[in-house]
Amino acid sequence: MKKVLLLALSGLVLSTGLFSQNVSVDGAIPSYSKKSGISGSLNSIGSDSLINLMAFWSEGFKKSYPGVKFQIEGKGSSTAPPALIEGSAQFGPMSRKMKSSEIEAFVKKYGYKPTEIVVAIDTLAVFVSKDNPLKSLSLPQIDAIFSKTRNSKYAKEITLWNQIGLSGAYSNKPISLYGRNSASGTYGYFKEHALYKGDFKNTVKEQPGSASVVQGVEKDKFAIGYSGFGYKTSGVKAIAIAPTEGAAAVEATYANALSGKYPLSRHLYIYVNKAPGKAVDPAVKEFIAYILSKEGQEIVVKDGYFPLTANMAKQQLDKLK
Amino acid sequence: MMRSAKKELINKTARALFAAGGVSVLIVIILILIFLFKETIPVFSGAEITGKNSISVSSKIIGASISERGNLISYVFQGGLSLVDRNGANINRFDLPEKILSAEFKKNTLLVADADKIYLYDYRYVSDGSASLDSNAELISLFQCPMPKGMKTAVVSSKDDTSVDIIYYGDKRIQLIKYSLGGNIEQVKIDTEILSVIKSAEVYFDGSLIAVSEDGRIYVIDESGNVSDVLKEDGISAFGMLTGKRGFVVADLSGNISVFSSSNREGSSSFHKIHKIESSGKKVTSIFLSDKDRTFAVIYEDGSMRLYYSTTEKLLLEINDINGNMLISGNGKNLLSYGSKLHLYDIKNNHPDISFKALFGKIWYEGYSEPAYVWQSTGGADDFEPKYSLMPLIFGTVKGSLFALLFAVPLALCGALFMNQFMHPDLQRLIKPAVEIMAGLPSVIIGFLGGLWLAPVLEQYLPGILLGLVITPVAVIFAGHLVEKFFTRSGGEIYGKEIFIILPVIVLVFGTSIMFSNEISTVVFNGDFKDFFFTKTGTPYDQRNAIVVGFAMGFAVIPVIFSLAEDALSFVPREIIAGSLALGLSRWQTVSGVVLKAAKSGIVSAVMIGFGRAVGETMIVLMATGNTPLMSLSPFNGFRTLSANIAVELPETAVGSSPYRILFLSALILFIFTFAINILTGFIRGNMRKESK
Amino acid sequence: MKLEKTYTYLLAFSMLCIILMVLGIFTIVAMNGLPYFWLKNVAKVEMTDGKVYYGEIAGVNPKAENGSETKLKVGNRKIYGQDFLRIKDSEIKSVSYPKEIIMLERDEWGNAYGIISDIGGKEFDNIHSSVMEDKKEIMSLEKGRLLSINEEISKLNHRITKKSETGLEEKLEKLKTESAVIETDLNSKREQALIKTFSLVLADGQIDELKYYDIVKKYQPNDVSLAGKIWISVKGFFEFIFADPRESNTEGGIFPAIFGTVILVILMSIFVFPLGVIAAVFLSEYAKEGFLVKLIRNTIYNLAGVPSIVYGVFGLGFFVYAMGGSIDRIFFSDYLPSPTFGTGGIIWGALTLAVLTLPVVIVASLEGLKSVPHMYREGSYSLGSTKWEVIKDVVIPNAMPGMLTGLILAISRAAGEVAPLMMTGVVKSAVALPFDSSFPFIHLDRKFMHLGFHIYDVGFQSPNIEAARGVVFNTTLILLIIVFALNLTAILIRNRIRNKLSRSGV
Repeated sequence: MKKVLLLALSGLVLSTGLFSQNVSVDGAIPSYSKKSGISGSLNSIGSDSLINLMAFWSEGFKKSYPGVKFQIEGKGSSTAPPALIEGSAQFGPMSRKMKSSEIEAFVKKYGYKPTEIVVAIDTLAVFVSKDNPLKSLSLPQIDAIFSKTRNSKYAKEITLWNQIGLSGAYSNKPISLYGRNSASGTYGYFKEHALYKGDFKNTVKEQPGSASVVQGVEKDKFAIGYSGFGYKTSGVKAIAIAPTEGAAAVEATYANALSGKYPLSRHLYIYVNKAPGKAVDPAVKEFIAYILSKEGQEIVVKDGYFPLTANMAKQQLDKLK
Repeated sequence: MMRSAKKELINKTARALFAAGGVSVLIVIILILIFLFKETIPVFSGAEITGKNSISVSSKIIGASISERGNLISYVFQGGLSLVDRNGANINRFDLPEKILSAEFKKNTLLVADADKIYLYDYRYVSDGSASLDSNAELISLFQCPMPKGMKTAVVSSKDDTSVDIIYYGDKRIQLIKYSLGGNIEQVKIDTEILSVIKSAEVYFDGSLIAVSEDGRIYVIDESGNVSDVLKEDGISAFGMLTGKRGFVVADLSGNISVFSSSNREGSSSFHKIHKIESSGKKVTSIFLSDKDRTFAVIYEDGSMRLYYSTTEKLLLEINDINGNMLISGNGKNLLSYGSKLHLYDIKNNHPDISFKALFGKIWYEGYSEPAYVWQSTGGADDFEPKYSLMPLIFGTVKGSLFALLFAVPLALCGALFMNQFMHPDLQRLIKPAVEIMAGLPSVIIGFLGGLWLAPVLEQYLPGILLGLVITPVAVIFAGHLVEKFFTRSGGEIYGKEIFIILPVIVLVFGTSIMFSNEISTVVFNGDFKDFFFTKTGTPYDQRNAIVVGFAMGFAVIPVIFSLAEDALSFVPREIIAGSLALGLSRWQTVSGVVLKAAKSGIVSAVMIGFGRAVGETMIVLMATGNTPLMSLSPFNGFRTLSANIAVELPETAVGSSPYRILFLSALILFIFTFAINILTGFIRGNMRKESK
Repeated sequence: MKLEKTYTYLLAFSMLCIILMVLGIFTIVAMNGLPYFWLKNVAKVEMTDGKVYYGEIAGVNPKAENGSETKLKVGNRKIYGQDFLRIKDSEIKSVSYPKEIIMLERDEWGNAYGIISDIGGKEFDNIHSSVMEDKKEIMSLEKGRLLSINEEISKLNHRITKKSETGLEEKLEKLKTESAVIETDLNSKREQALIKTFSLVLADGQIDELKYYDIVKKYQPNDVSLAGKIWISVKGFFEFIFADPRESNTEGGIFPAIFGTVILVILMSIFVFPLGVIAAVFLSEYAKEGFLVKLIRNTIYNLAGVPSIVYGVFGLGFFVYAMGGSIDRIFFSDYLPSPTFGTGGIIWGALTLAVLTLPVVIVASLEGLKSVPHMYREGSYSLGSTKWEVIKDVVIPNAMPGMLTGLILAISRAAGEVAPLMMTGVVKSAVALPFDSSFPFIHLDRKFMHLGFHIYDVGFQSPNIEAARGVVFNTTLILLIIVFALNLTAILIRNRIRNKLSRSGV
């Protein structure tokens, strides 16, 4: 609790306030217990939001099973379905659900659907530079900032900071937009939920990685950008978001993400190829079991995401039975 | 003699081997070309029929459905529903009420209506888990209720796990009612009068109802029941909502087909006719739409059918003798026509979304307020309308290259001229390798520094840097003259070693101007340069902009132009120079009058090759721009190039899909373009060599 | 007269700008990268409100929005959540550098700063070094026999399930018992090592219980002499080259990336060098100037201008999907649908780069061949040699420096090329190297890490970008040095050839 005090009281680290939440892994999630004779080579291709998590998990997993080899590629969620279909990977980490067309392509090849496993909770944050006085935005405002189609029906396009109530140094300053490239699940998720399926403005700077979005916002005083909450640095802050115009703004916290109050929170998935009624490769199964164990979920916290509850973890684990 | 024969054999073998090696290089190149073409060409093909099955049915068909992958067909007749496979073999049969007037399948539901009642079923195809295809179907009765008073038609508009929305319309009235799955009315969402006879109605993406009347009016009824009469056509004979519910298709009485969509302008929607397909002279009886993409089938009164794609307005397929109606399967690979008979067509329709116009023309997309060039190839959802215009990418490629040249050409050419003509040979030997090393710098390093180091620095010190670029050369000239005046008696003594005078001047002047960047900004631009620029031009200053890329990519291009230009200058025969000098012309006159003229074509080709290099550069652009597919000339805006676009998107696309082939097309464009530039310059240089001889 | 001089100065100015730019790049990279090896003093910052921080001062921003600001690297990520903290200078009461502050480099969670009070320095070092010995032993056990046993087991499993061969179960059992024995031994060793802990008192008085096992290094930065710091920096630089990455590439070294690059380049050379030399010899020695030869020669020159991304697209479509897919269908069909070669791999990356660098090698080889004086050839012919013998004994040996120049330039290009590799198999983290002690030693199908891609990846895609800056800039520095050295060698060799060429008057 001391650290909560430390950061909350300091006031200097206003922007890091979100990190001060004491997110800890649900005590009811059991520790991982090691099996014997697990080896082989495991490939993972998919989301780049998840790539660091995958890397951490694989490092942790290898402590128990040094014989297991990992290859991890992360260029965006859209890479996962083709890789699973081609079989070039056993794990397809994705930061969004598979589209029905992707599932259909999978079914076409194997005759059954891929198995979807929720491994963590991600909160998409809208970041501004740490000194920016902006506290909150509503989703329609975000739509009006980022979208050219404005499907939310927000009255006016927002291009200047004073249009969202900032004054002083920010008045009459254009808003500089940062976002992800189209292959990422983050891009698709944001498009669907914050832009109401509309189109991005052409002026959104598409960055090849979530970290470069944050980097861009940090170095650009008048910037706003969206990216996974886990990529937050000390130079940016995440703003609270109201689901509709006039509603109360919700901070990106664990409680809000779990309860679904925060409008831009999503699950992170790993898709695996499991034939109904047949067991999966033991190495695959153990890796998933490791991810859903106490150790695996601690890594989730370490990488800046939110862990699953014990109940959720168990449900997911049962999918591989 | 034996030995010599063996020798001869080896000799011949070697010869054959070397020839094979030489030719294999050619083969590799041809292979690249063929391969790129092979992957690209299918994009421009239309749809075709690859198979046809006819199934005879004894009773009259009232409604029909086809499974997602086209292997199962269901049809409704009086009193029942039959499920058959694609050869007509019976799989299952369900009972339905007698005296049915209509039966409509829609997304896992079947709505059957008789004279005064509607019956709603959950109807879905199922697979038994072992096979990859659906193998059977399930029919579950949800509820039945009387048709509301005065209503003639009922349509399911959406269904989820707990409720179902049904649209009713009669002559002049329309309703949208939400039922629980048990049949209780949960909410009457819309119930309103309309002035004309309603032909058809569907729910729009924002929850409002779109209703069309036979006399050609299109009404929008918003969620609070307000009716606005938005458009007037010349009578309407058919109507249908496109997937994604962001646009709808309307056929008028003379057979013209139009697609409408709304855009958001200052808070209210305004509708536009975004596509128009001219009439083929025949009257349209009905329109059937695909759930998968924006393909729709238009049925004409003479029993013919045309398959169109909305975004591209492309006519994909025409079939003449269908009888009645036409369904498109969920995967878009099968068509089912039903009337007195069932016809099942297998079609190949892989790239309906691409046409020449889609790639290079302005297209009016759904939700846009005007036609535009847009690249936005993927969305979060399946019903996204992909936008594949290559124009912003080509524009970005050219813009980036030009900015790089703007920076690189003067520096490289002047530098090469100086080194070749004026520099002390000892220094030359030292400097030349430096430029060659510069050529070897990996672009990933330049891009990384451009994006993460140069961009923020440039933003912070822009006025100082701009000023520095102007005053430093002036200061250099001034200092040079000063030095000559005071420190050397005869002007020629520092000849060839000017750079030693210049170096400290550059560092001093440029450094000072950067140091006082903020002050300059305050004085000249009234505070902040970015503000100044924004208020004067209306375009915001972007941190990742064309200037940053110009610098960074210029860095990659300079050594290319430098070396080639230097080569061209060396080709100028020494005798000409000597002769010119002997005639009493000064060194500079010789250079500007003789040397440059002689090396002109070589210099031009050097610049062209530099342009070619810039066009294909990938990593620098990827890292140092925002990859924004903009078409703006402003130097302080970003852009997106063909090459960066390939790098970002290709690893993610599914093999054989439309975006995959378009990216191959982009690669092909780059290949042909750079190859052509090289051939052209080769030609120019060939001439140059001839001339110089 | 005056104006003329003006022009000359402008030209000289341009020339100098170019040179300054080249030097600038080296300076910027070195200045941003090298300081990360420097062992910085750890400050004890006391604030006016009574708080205390330990941390390295990572930067001061005098022009921050709310007054001058200091960026402090406080580490202890596991506890504080972030490595860096920004504090207002106006709220700082005092800054001091007490000698007893300790900096710990850890396997996970980055650095820790604090004071160790429950155990003496000497004693700590003794325990730590003995635990490190154990750790080394554990690692070598894991990566040695256990690894190969596990690989054999998975191969056997595959054969039993897929090919339903029988009679292997016994062998499998035997291996399993052996692995179990080693694992029990390993586990007890690890437990013993893990049990040893000490406590670190953090700046705010919190106590963090740490395991010796997780500590990579312990420093007492405020108590190290200048010479000591220099020594540590130099050591740090070499450790960076030879260590494995930690914390998903943001800490530790870059060895796998260097290794991947080297293997990639070697493979590429195997393909491109013979082919390039053969093509050059054909063009220069055998071919009679005709349409075909002209065509080949011109295409080669023109090919040099084709963007690398186009080669990447070709590599993905042709090598990976078409060729790799076919190899899988023919030779590895029982592993399908998991592709062996039908996915990005080092062999495809190497082949793609080979096609890309082919023009470089051919052009340089041609130049080398041209430099061999005709007298040599004629002399050899007059002694009765066949054409092949002339080429083998006279032409190629004399043209070798030119050919090597081409190869070196190709290598330098390949070391820095990223775009085509992104499509043909480069990955963020491939823990299994493409070359190791398990049969058949070289694994052409494996994915690989690459220095150039590493820069792109760490610079743009790591979560903890502030902490990763050191890794990116230093990776850049190393790549820069490699490319610089290769180019310089090539240039020197080539200049020697050119001199020879001009002396012999060809």
